[in-house]
Amino acid sequence: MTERRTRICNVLGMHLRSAASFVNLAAKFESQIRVAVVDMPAVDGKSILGLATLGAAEGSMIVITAEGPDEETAVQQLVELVERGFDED
Amino acid sequence: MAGEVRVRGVAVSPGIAIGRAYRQQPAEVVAPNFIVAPEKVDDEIQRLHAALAKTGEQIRENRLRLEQQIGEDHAKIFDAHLLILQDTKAIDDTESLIRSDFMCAEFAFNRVIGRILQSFDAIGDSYLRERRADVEDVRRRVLNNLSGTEANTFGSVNEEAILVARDLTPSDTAMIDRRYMRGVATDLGGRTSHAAILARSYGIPAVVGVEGLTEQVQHGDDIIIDGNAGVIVVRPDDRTVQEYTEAQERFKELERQMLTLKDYPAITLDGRTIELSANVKKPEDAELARAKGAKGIGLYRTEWFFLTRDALPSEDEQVEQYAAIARAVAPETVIFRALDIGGDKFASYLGPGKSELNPFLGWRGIRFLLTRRDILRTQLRAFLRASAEGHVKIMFPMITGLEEVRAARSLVDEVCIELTEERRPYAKDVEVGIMIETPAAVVIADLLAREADFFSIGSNDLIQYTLAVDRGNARISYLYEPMHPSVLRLIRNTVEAGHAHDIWVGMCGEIAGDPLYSVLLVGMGLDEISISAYMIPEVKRIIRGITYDEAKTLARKAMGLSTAAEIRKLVGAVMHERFPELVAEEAS
Repeated sequence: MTERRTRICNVLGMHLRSAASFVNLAAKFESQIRVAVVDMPAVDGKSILGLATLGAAEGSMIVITAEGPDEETAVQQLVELVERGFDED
Repeated sequence: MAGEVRVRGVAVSPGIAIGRAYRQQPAEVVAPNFIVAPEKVDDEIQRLHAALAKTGEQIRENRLRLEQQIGEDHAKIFDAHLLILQDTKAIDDTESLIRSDFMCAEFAFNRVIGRILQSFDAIGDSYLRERRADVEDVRRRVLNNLSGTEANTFGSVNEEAILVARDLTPSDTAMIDRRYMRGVATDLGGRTSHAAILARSYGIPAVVGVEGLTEQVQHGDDIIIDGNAGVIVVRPDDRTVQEYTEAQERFKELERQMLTLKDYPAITLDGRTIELSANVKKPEDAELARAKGAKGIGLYRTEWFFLTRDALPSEDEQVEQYAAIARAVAPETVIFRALDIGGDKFASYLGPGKSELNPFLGWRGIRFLLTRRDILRTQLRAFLRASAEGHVKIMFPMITGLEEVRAARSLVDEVCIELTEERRPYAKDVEVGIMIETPAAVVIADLLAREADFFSIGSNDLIQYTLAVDRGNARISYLYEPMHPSVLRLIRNTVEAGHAHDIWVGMCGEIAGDPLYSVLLVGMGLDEISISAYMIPEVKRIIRGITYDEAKTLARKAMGLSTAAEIRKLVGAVMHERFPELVAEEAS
């Protein structure tokens, strides 16, 4: 299992469109992916509804966990996506 | 329900509409609850998937439609809607409720989404919490497809209809396809509610503030909106329809007559020219403004572009918008108002939100811009870059003090230096003006006039702040009174202060577009009047039919009266006498 923490840095936070970008990337990996706001219950990282209900606003610390054959790449790339602010303008 | 019902409200946009009522769907969708026989479980799951597939098609259609109408960026939200529809966890959960609890597809799906909506309610961040509306939207579509009922939201209006709702929010209005909109009627609101402003800017009849209207009207009912008299007839009988069809014809004929004035200036019989320009919010509106005979754009509401998207537009995207309108209006001028966000206009990604206890006294207009200089700077750069392609002026909203004018102007100067260094072309003589919409600004208008190139009176806010009345609050909206002597004095003081310092003074609020007040406002000395394009022919016809002298006499008399009721009576009587075909007798 691979796990990393990162901070939401886009102004809008994990809203629907950023959740959509996350889901689209997460879906490329075989590993099971979980996302949680620190100290809160985790949600399925491939579910847009799960991610959108995290309520992860700008500045929230989140934990991304992956378990499976490509877990390291998955976590690496997803953390990068979050750190790029979901590629929003 | 049957039988003709007549109800009265406030006439806020002229004209007569006869058609079918389009009722906004109530927020709660009721899902049927029946038990599925064990051997039918697979069929039920198939039914679920068929509805999901159909919903997907509809969303893709909507995406395409919005993309064509407003642009790719706005349409992107539907990609997220599609992902919601494909959410494996939600689908698995629904299937398992059908399989193990023998729930019908509607009930199972509704329960799964209902739980998700509850988690949204617990979110602290208001922008993220508001995203529940998107999930609700998808839920409604799926449930409608499952039960075979029509999706009944404004966004899906696809035939001519008269919209009947409790109220319209700015986001509702963003979804409405104006081609199909024939009239508007709402329970709530007054002359300056969003429904009213929307209707006037689209040139369709509207009556608002009709208490209990939505209880009387069913979706699909025949309905007549008389935006001249403020009357709504629900389920009219044949004679009524006949009567209103004739009235509609007469009104259209009058409109045709007025349009013949479109290429003439708004000049009084004794030669005073008023700059009669249009309030718009998109580059495409320029065409309409010209068709109605506007001289340029007196108010370009830049916030519309920001409010109809999910993220900040880039500088280049803004330049594209602003240059397009500057080119379309040239050789006339377009006045860009810097982003006027806050109050009742929110884009959650921008910050100000409904969490403010007192948003109209809160972080809005120039106050927002001066704390978000990144946004203001980008916008000013875009305005100035657009100035290379036409005649551009800039104005700042919600000014209360000279410091704000200075801070804004110095940012304009900085941006000019940047652009010069980058060798980007821009016009060197762009006028920088301010909105006069707070009593404070009027009281120090003499000081402001020394450092602003022009004044534009925003009458809606000025009235609201002066009379301390929330224009959206139906209980006290009767206090919202443009003819209050205090309001007229503030207008007069602003004009005098501006003229004493040789700057021009205009007005871009809603009262400027009300023909009833046209003569009075001209008489008070305004140099410019900027209004909804649809009102231009009527106001122009009035201005061309009076002398500046008689207008000044009316203004002087009005200023001598002590109450709004007396002023209304005077103005109404004079206007009815001079323009009986435009101003009804009881226009008070």
